Amino acid sequence: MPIIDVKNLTHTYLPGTPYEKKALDDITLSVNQGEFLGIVGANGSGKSTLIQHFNGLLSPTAGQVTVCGRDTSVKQHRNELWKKVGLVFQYPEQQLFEATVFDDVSYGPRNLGLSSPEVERRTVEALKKVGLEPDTVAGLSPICLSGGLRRRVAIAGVLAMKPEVLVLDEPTAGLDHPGREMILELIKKLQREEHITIVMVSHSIREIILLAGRIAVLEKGRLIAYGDTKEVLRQKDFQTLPGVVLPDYLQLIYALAGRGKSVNPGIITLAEAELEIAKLLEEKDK
Amino acid sequence: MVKNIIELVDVTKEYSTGQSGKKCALKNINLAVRQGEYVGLIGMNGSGKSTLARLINGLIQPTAGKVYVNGLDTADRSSLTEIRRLVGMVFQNPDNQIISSIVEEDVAFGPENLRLPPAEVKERIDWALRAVGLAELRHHAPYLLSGGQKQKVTIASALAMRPACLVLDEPTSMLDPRGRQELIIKLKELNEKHGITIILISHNMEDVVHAERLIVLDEGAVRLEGAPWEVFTSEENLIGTGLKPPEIVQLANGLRKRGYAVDKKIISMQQMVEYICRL
Repeated sequence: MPIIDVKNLTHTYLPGTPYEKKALDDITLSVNQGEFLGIVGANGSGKSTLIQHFNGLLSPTAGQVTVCGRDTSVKQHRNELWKKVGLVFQYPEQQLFEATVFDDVSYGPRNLGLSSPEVERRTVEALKKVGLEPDTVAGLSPICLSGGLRRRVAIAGVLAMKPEVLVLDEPTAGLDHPGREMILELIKKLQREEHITIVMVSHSIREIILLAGRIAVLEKGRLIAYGDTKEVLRQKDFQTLPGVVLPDYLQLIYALAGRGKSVNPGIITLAEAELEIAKLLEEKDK
Repeated sequence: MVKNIIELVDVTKEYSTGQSGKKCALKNINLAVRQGEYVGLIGMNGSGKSTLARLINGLIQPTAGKVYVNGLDTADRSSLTEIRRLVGMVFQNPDNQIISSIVEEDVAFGPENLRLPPAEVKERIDWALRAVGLAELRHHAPYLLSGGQKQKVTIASALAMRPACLVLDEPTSMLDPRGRQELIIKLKELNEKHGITIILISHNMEDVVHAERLIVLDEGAVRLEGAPWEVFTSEENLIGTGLKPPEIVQLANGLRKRGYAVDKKIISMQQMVEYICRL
């Protein structure tokens, strides 16, 4: 049974005003327990609007969203969902507000009414999960950490709630290369080892195709491609979508294939692309 | 002789970090940027890039050393107005520097504060909005624009001051790939068509392929300097900086390791396609 089930979801902002905007138009998709769904699309395509339906922050204008078996349009359900679905917003480090890392990460569990040893246990565990040494960082003020570290603290705060589903909105935006790699590794680990269901939004197709088993592509509020990552990648019309900028190495492979060179366009990684080109060069040498 | 628009002489910048002491953000930087040059400044988070940017228009002062803009010392308070007119700044998040609720009013803010006559203000707005390609959106509300468009508004607002130099501090990091591409092309155009000196700061090497010269900052010092292809292909020097060359160069570097003599000057996808098809 899918853990997130979206049926014919439409969401309109500011209905009845001059600024009325249909941000989502008839979206149907589902996410299974333990799955990794990637959502891609340009700025303004509706990605963030969509994921805010997953923990009941927004409710559908039309259609139905069921998460963990509960209809999100029911208010009582929404109050339960924020415990089950952890939402990591864009630039989550901007939400850090406590004086120390420990206080910030433990804010969620404290508000669940847990005992203080349990709160501490969860906090320490969450910090370890994101690769931070609790003894070193717990007493520090979040503002003296770098952007990448602060983001990890913010994610730890969500993990301390022990969510069943983790939804991340552009988790790597604004980070440098090692920072990005670190966050992506962490997300991968959470899915593989903790079996948390992951929904990740990114405008970096590169990140999504390397992690997600399935992808959903949004454009102007509509779901224009949805399915197994490799299959979606192979679709010609997907490759030329205005909101989609494929990694250069994939564009290279597709351009070469388009010019009749014998390369396999069904690849995903840079290493695979290198191998394809090496094969091509080897044939030339013969 | 072409003048140096920006000159840093033995610049060191330290920040105090509370009771624990000082953090050195920049160590003994010597740097000159020619008028009309396009420089890419790259480095990881914490390498000192933003500190350098803020020193260039006198937002902060060096702990030691001198910063000159067009020969004016940024430590001289009476020169700061002129220095800030000469050097336009564009920051990471456009929302932090857009102040008006209408695009053209935002662009007008700078020139109006120079107390220029209305006709001149209007002319500058027209020019700046055309230069970034936003002429049609001049009456729009900035908050209804996309991230890429908002970033173009901030560039137009900087351009309306008729700066000699634009310093952009990670202007692409909040944009989607399409917005990023457009912005990068626009910057190249501003540099080529209008002769504006560009200092583009990024941790993304793909952003700076069009620069004439790259400067790699690492832990507050200049680690590497050269044409983009030279920097991208000197892999051993990039180790430890946390920087990775563009993927096409990574691919070419990989092929060279496999023993294929791929031209080192190939840094873009189009160049690579042409190269392979010519073989």
